Amino acid sequence: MAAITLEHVVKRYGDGYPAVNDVSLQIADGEFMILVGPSGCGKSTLLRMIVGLEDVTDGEVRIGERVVNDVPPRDRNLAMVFQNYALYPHLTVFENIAFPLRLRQRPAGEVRQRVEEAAAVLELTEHLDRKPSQLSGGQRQRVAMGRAIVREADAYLYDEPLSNLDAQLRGQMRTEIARLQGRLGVTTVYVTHDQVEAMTLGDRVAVLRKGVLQQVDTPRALYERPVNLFVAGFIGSPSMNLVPATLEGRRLRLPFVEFDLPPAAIPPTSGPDGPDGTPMALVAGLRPEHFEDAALVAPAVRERGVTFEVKVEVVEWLGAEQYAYVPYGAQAEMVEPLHRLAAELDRESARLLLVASIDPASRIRRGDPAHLWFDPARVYLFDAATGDSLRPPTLDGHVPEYQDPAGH
Amino acid sequence: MGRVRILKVTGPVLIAVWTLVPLLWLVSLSLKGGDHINDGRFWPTAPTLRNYRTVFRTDLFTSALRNSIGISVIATVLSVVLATLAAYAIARLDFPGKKLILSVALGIAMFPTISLVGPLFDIWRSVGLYDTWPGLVIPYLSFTLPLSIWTLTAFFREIPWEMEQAAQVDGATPWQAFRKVIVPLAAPGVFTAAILTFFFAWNDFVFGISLTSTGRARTVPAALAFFTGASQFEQPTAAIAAAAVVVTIPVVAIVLVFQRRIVAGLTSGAVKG
Repeated sequence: MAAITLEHVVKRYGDGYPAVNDVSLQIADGEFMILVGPSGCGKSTLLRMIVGLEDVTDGEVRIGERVVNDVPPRDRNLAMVFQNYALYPHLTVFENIAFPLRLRQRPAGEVRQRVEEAAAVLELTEHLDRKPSQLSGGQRQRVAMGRAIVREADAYLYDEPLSNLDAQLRGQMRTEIARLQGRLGVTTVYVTHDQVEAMTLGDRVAVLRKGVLQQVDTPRALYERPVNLFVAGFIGSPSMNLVPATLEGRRLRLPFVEFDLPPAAIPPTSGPDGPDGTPMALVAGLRPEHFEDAALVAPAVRERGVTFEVKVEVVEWLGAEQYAYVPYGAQAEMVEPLHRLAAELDRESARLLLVASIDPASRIRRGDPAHLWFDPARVYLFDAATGDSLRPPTLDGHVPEYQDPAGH
Repeated sequence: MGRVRILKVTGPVLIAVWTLVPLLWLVSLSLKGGDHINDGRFWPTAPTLRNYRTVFRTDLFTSALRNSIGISVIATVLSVVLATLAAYAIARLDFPGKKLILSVALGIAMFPTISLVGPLFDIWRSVGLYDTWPGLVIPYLSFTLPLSIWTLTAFFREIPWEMEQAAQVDGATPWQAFRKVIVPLAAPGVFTAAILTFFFAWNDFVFGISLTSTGRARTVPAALAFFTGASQFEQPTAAIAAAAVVVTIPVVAIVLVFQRRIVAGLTSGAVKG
């Protein structure tokens, strides 16, 4: 068990391009840290530098108190689960799990006991004599985990361990990993591009973009107080609606509605065009789940928020959730930064389409005019040029209230 | 459809007859007594093991057999060990001249053997390698190494690098990772290379006859040419046939024993799939 510390870590490849750029990160003893970001953001490279499979170009990697920059992987005492599992196909499941112990020349009795313990935890006992080729994807994944937990490693590293599994199995294994971590309480670093895994598993989540650390915080804090457009667009599902907007005084103009911001939500520093001057171009962020069908919101609450008329293009009813899609128009030059961001987030392009997650009881139908409601205090504002958050909205655990249609 | 079926059945039968009849003839010949060799019958009328007793009693054959086994085994072991290390380096490391090594190796493998016999004969005579075991092991090595390196490089390239990295993280030194993970995974390739090398050395006639002069290093294929019959008045045909059967047995045995290991696909299941 050990803490892992990264200080100003840089990884440069032959072409001089920094795959990881000046990352400093402290992972506490026993903490579950998630490294998340779109493909090519350097998260796997960072993990491989911690485990020792990639050289550190600059900076320092410490495990506990020990600087490990030049320590070969075998002497770092870390266990890793690879994306492709990297099981040894010529060995049985038993020998795969026993492999690290055999290398350490542990007595046969101890090897047997520990492998059987690990197999029991992972429900692999009946498969111990099989070869990896005879196992299903989920079973192989568990063998890879067995090979990690059989050791008394200082930390466990996971490199997108669930990305090769189908959706159902992924959910199951996710729970399994959470259970295992809770049971072992070992420092864990987990790389994923899946934000559901990031949000559900991590004590803290580190969001990376092009090799640069954007924000490190608890999942809740990332969701509630993203520091920039990138984090805001990445965390949350469906992702935050990012809408071109202008601010004049406290008047916020969105393509589909305009309203006055509550005093607490007005950005304190507002760039060259202050709130008192000319209109300031910015990007407004509205989470789909902060919208509601106005017809379902209690009148008292409704007054506190903003209601606007829309023409719904598509409605998706999923039983527990319902999504309404509303197209809107905006000037091309205002949408430009959003297109760039969409490309970075591996999305096709920024669509001028508002997504609202409304109560499943809502009777809004496709093509019908309808009214949507939201709380202006929950609007996020970002600088259009830099993408930095201008001010986190005032949340304080406040949840919009609306009339429960079921009458609870 | 019927046509395809007929082809499917008759094709293999034809090939089997084509390849096996000469072998059967050889066996039949080796079982015939001295007078029956020219009797014009396919099957021996009075099968006898006399020819086998004869070949094993002649020094010419037994020493040649000893030489053949020794030289082939040494050439095979050396070739496989060297080729494994070379192929691993080519597959895994980045160093200047990597492509050159591979193409030069291929060029050497294409070289006609007979063109080397004359120069080698002269060189071996002056450096004292003529009629010695190393005198044959060296040319066998230089002709089989390229093929072994190519075969094994292809195998090593197919082994996911993650396999080795996993071993390193699990606590293996580079040598342990190579020995415990990479070599077992490349086993089909190693066996293929070993068998090709062994057969090349075992079956070689050109070097064997040209670079040897006595029983010190003469191999079986070369020695067969020097056979005489059971008595000096007899044709040695039947004895040669018996010797030929004896040297064919190891080849058949090796293929039967190792054919399972030659089958590739051992790596399936290593990664997702």
